[in-house]
Amino acid sequence: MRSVISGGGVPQRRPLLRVDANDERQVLVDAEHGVRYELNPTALALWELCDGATRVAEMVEGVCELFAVSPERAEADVYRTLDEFGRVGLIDWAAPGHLEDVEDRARRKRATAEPRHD
Amino acid sequence: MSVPLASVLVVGSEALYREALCDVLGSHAEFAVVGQAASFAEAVQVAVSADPELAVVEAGVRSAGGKPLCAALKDVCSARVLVVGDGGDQAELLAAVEAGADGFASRDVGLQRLFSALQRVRDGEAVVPPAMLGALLRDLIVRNRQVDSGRELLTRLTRREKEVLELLVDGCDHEAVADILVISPQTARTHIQNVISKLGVHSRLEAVSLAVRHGLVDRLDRKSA
Repeated sequence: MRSVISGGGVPQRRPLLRVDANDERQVLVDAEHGVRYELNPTALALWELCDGATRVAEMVEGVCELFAVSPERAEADVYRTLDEFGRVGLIDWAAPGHLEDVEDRARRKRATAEPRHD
Repeated sequence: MSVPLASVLVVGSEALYREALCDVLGSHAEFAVVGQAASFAEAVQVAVSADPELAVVEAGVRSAGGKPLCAALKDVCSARVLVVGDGGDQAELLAAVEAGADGFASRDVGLQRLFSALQRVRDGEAVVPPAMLGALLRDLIVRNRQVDSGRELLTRLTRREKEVLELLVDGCDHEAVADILVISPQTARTHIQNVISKLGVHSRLEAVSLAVRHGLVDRLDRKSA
């Protein structure tokens, strides 16, 4: 899994999982296979960020800032969590090209908008 | 082994809530209330004199100039700050985190959960209601993207163009820009048009909006006119 992350892969959560969460517990439910995954709040937050567009480095930066931990510690925690998600099949990995396509489309859309004058 | 009492400052505008909280915290085996305050100024004053280890602060308390109380407390004492606010308000939570809060608790929680949050803050944890954590992380990421985008945009502008953008944010038209920078109105218009073009927008209003939204204004070297 590390090789996918270092190659710029972007995590994408599986769409068939349902979140059952409140302040006391956080559970991902795979109704299709009858499996429940109990997560801690930070792990659930990271899973929700796996939207196919949020890069791992961004997650690391967010965790580092929010929890006031060193970048090394944040990176280790995020990587470990995503590794586990991948291992049990909670996420897939989108190729870097997918993310670039989204950004390129946004740039092209802005560039072709009708110009207005001040 | 007994746990040493942690000194606490309580800040809230509603006297009944503030005084009741002081009462129950004072009865708790681990906390000692060293002061209470109803306003920004009062809170800062008490913080300076009492130097509390902890502060329980109502969300949204700011100075007349808009500075969050949490940030002000961090300037004047070593307290770790627990902000208490609306459990469904992500904007309030993000503002608290950006102001340096060490924890956020919903005002809907009961006393035991408030005590637990305060103990965790005292112990060095970052405390966020679990149901709000995901959205908070996303808000931080979005904000960081805007900051990075803003940095990149600023690099496109010359020093003079940055000065012009600063003046546009201050509400100047091209004639005021010309007066302040001692240049001709036509030159001012050219600079303004260059700023608009380089920022990828279509009007002065959009340029100002983009500058404010991406925090470009804070990164400009602000000089008084």
